[in-house]
Amino acid sequence: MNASSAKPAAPAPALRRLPAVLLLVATLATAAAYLRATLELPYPELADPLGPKIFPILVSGGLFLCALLMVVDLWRTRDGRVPVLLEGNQPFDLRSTLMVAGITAWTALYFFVFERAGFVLSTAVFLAGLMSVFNAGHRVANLCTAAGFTIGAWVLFTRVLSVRLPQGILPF
Amino acid sequence: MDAFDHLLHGFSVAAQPLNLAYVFLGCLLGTVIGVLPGIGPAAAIALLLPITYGIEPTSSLIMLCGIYYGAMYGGSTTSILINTPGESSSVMTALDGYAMARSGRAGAALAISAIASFVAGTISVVLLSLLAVPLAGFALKFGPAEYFTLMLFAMTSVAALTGPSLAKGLLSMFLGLMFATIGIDLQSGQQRFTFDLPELQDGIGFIVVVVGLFAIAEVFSGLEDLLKGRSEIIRMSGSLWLTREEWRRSVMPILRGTGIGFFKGVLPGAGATIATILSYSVERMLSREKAKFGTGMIEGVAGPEAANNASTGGAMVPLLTLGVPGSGSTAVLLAAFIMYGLQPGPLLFEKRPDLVWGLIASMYIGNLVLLVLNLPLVGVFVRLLYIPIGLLLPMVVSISAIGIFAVNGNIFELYLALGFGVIGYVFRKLAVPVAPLVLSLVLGGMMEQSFRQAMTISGADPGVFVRSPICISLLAASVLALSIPFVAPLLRRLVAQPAAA
Repeated sequence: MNASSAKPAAPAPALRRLPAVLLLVATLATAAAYLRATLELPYPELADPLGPKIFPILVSGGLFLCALLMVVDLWRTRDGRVPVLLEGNQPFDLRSTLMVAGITAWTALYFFVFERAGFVLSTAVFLAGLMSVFNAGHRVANLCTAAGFTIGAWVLFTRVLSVRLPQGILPF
Repeated sequence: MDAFDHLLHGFSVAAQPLNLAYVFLGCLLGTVIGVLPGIGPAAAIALLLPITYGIEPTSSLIMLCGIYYGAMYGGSTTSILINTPGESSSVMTALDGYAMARSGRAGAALAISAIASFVAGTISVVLLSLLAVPLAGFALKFGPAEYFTLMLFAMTSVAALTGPSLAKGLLSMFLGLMFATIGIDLQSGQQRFTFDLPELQDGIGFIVVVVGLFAIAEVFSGLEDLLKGRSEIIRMSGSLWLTREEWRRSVMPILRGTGIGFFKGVLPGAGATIATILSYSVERMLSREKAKFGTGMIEGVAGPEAANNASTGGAMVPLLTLGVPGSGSTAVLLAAFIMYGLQPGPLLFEKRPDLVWGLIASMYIGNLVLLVLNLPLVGVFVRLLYIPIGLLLPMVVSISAIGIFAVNGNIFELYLALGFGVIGYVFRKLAVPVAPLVLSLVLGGMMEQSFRQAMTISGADPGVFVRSPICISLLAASVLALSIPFVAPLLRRLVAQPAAA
């Protein structure tokens, strides 16, 4: 067997540089959108001589400067060297990305019902759901922790610290 | 009144029973949160801010500062026992601290960490007390142009020194400034970038951003690590007391680390992190057993830990005297000051000496509290590491929700925090530092006002920014900071060439 065939295939140089290119594109898009939004701001009747646009214009200029630095970095390393932009990067993988998307959706749902259902109900269900996935196989411990934490936090914040939390559909 | 009289007055404030209780509570909570893997001081302050809402400002800030240095200390426990630094400034502690723990000297590593933190923290607060009055007096010479250049220096230093890529650091900084421009423009009353959403009229709250970028992003990263398997937790073992030989070897590294840490803490930039790297490098360079570094050398724990904690005292110097923070954590502290209607800086020393000196005095007490808490109770704190991550991290999301909702009772801010959590996660993956974003978000509004005031006073002449020696020095320092990422590799190559020859 060929020795090189036993090693995991390294990503092609173009693919390896993809995160840096995407960061550059995102930076350019943000800078352009921000500049456009700034230029569309109406000029107020009462303002200082410089007005409210000057500082955002300078900031969008700074964002374009960042994009320029990224272009220079990518251009300098076009021979296959690793751009400084990629130093310290962690690879994205499908499983992790899906997991983060799932947690984001579950958390967004939690926030959606936070006021409607109330802190106690929404938090207990949110925690029990997330714990059942990430601490699987400990159903009783998960349920007890979710309920215990929720009630403890409710008592601490609303009764002891007088912080207002949504009551929702529960009578307390 | 000289510094000593001010300090005595400060002790009369800090030693009130209620304030003593808040120092203790702040240190305790900070250490507990700091021990939790991945959650650093900035997130700890933001997460625990709701606890202080009903408290009088002096006591509240005393407690928040306790949380700050408690969390700085707590991060080293995770470095030593699970090789997972709570934040970048504890990375160097992990190199030899974790190796000591693996060889059965976890107790000694934790003990020297506590002692070095106490000594360095105390010396740095003494230096802060001595420097505060002259620096606050100097800061009275600052006008809008000087403040603008000072903030520019703080931001560019942090952007240039927090990662290998200048482009990423600057990107983070400009994004922070961009977010800071959202809301009503203070000088014209004009709405900017609010998309007709009333929730955005007051701008994006710093708690929303900090909790999102630090706490929620940490939940994503922590649960991802859980999926991929996590590092082994070393059970605490060995005596908590040091041998005579270990004492002897630790004294000088602690003193050198204190000097390095305080000096780096005063300067804006990646203060604590660079201080710990410098301290570790100095100890390794001075040691006769260079090759043994990384295998459990106590000097490799004592020096960086002293540097880490001395930098917290150093970082308070520009925050309190100039009103300009030099790091993400102190930016969150500044935002807490502003939330209480207080603007740190020279005028605060004149208007509220009880608060400023009470706060400084509380740091002396806080350092002692941390030592007393951490030596006998380290075994209790360590137990927090055994809580399953799958239980702990979901609770962090709920605490984050409470912290954000408690400010304005606004659900929209919860969604914003979630959005910033996703941004923080992507930033971690792409190694984009978040500290410049937080710093520029907090300073952005003030920076814009200083810029426009200076330009208005000068009749729109940009020459106002190069007219005073202070402005010129600060601009030169900013250029120097921005040139470091370009110059440092060249210097390394120049040094390496003769060595190779």
